[in-house]
Amino acid sequence: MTTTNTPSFNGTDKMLKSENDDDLFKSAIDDTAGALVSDECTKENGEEDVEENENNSSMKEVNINNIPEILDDKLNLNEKLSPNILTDESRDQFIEIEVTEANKIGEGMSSYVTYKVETKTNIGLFRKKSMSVHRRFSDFLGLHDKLTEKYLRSGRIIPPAPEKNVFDGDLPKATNTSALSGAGVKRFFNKFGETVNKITYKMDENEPWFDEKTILLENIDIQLRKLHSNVELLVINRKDLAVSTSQFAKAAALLSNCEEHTGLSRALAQLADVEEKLENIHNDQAISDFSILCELLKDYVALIGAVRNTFHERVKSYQHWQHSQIMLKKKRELKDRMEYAKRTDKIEAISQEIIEWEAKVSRCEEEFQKVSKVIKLEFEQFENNRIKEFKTLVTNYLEVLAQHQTQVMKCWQIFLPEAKAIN
Amino acid sequence: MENESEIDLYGDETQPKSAKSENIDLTDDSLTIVISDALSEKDRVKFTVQTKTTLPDFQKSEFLVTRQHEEFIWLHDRFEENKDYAGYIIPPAPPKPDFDASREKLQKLGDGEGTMTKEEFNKMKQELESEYLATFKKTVAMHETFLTRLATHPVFRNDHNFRVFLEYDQDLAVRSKNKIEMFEGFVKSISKTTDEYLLSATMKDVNDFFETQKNFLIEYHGHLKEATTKADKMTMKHKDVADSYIKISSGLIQLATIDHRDLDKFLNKVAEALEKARKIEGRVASDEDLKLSDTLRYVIGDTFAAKRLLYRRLRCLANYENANRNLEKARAKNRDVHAAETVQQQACETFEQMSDKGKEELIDYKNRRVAIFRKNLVDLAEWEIKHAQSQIQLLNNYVLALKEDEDLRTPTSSTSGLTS
Repeated sequence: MTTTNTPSFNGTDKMLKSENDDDLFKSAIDDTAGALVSDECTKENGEEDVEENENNSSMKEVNINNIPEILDDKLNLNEKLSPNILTDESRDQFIEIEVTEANKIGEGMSSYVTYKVETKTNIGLFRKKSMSVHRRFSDFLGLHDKLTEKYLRSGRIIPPAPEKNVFDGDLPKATNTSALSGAGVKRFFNKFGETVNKITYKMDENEPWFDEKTILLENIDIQLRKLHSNVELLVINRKDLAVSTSQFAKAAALLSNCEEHTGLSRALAQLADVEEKLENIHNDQAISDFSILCELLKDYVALIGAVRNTFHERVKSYQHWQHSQIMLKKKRELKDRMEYAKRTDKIEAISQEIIEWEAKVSRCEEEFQKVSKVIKLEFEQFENNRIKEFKTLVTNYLEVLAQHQTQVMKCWQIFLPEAKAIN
Repeated sequence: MENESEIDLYGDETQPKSAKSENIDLTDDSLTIVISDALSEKDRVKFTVQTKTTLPDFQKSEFLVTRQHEEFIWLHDRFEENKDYAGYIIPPAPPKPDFDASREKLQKLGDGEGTMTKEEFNKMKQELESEYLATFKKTVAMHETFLTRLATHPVFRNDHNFRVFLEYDQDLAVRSKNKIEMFEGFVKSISKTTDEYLLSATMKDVNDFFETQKNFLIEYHGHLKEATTKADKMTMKHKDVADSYIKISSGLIQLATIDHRDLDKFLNKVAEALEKARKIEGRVASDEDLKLSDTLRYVIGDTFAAKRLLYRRLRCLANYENANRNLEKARAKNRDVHAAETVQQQACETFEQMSDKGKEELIDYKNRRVAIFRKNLVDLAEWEIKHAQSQIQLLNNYVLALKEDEDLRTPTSSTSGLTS
């Protein structure tokens, strides 16, 4: 299987697992003993494994490269906020993660599929330069949950988790063409609830940047979804074309059998042959339409959802700040009233509370500022990577289209002398 | 809304110059016929038939008449009915002008107008218009082919009805059939086919050549029909694929207007590439229709005509055998022997004449079939290669341009970003 080294979010990554006190991967089988991650897989966590119902062995390629520095130690956060340092230190660092073979383990209802995750890196925090582990689908979900729990609040964009059964439709198994695309990763929406709150709460925005980006994201989201459904239509049409081409090929073969003129009969048989090949080419192209374009768009719809989640976290942080300000104000008013009423006995306690709330307000404000800052940085990186990836994949799509046309041309070039030979 | 667009599409009457018929070699120009003009009026098409001749039997050397599809059918039926032509393959009648498919699509387009952008709508409409025009041109070409085949035929060209068709500058007063006539025609065609079916099932041709030809043609005709249906479906689907590019490129353009400026130019270029690729794919679809489906359709007509010839031969053979039996009976009873003898002799002559002619005609038919297939399959392959080549070149050029843009941008791209 081909490497899926999508440019997203790689290059700046640092992996540090030491803070993870939960083991996400209790079900994982490690085949390189001593690899960093597995070393830490010691404790049991109570997490329930998602039932694995996969019975197709199709590949899932999960871009863990997409995980940015959120795996970073929190202690490094402040340092990370300076983009210069970030690029400087990441320039020579790399981490390449490839999800290769899928293996079915067990039989029947209790069977599940594991995916081989191979990692190559020169980041010093890893003890080895290359690692290889097996992970279950639920492990990916678990990782996503943990990352969300830990980093979403601070404004990090959490890449959406992969979706199950990527090719569980009518589409045949992934072929080389689709593997090339680096797609095949369906991500689900982060349904983090609180949608109601998102809609109803309107904060007084003091940074126009966020307003601007919110509108931008909404518009992009609408356009991407529309585009996505149109590409889906193309896939359906192309698959239909493949089916009808194959039907014509069969009819042409029958006609050829019946034809009494030898030369014409041979040419018709060749025509049937060409049409059969064209059927395969149409099918391959339909898979490329799906795995390159469709999946790319779907990924981005999901990614945009993830970005919007961070925006929402900021709103929540703002709400906290506002709430503590209101509380502080109330406490101060209470104190004033108490002083007016000369209830000296209570003033002491209230003053104490005021001090606490004052601290909380400044903490919340600081947090809010920090979240805002992190989001901006994350967004910048998101944009850069997104644009790069989009360009790479779409250009690749055009190349694949051209390749398939080359195959079409060759088919007809072989046929032409056969047609000319009729006499 | 639909009405409006319909007027738009059909209102300006299309007057394509019909292309010369491709299938018949016109080395002899003593009688040449072209359909110089055609006019679409609602559900009727008026063909302007232009005749030039050096044959002495015609009153003038040039004629210009206006004929409708029904008149072509009338002419065809006269040939079919004529007993003198029983041994000939009658050139197949041209198919009825059928724009229902285009109309239906147009209706659908009108219904779906709200769901697409103005640009998408216009592109789809343009596609339909050219599809309509292509159908129209094809209809004209097929009518012309019919006349040309008659004109180049050594016997048919002298037919009286044919001359009337070409010369008489008034309406031939052939109305389209009313309901009762339609019904009669239907019953007649049923009895015709039952008779045909019975004959082909019960009568074995005395001549091996005709017997094998009969069996071959019946089977061949079936396979041809099947192949044509499938080819039609295939080209239709190919068209759908091409059409679905429209919405994708327009979606990319819309995305370009709102998305990051770094993507703007890129998306527009990709949209441009897809739009050009779409046009080529559309051409592939219509060329497949022209070279594959239509070739099959033409051969179907010719094959059917050949089948009809064999049926008439069987009918003739049956008559001949009948006459033989009658003669034997008459001899046994010694009554009306002379009359029976005459009938038998005539039947024998007709049958023999027909057999000789029929054999020639069937060989002609085969040569014609092979020639038509050869020409059109070669054309098809050449056109397909040409279209694929231009698509490859187009896509590769765009890929190259996109990659170049990217390379030029790379040094600066790291600093661009969120402040857009």
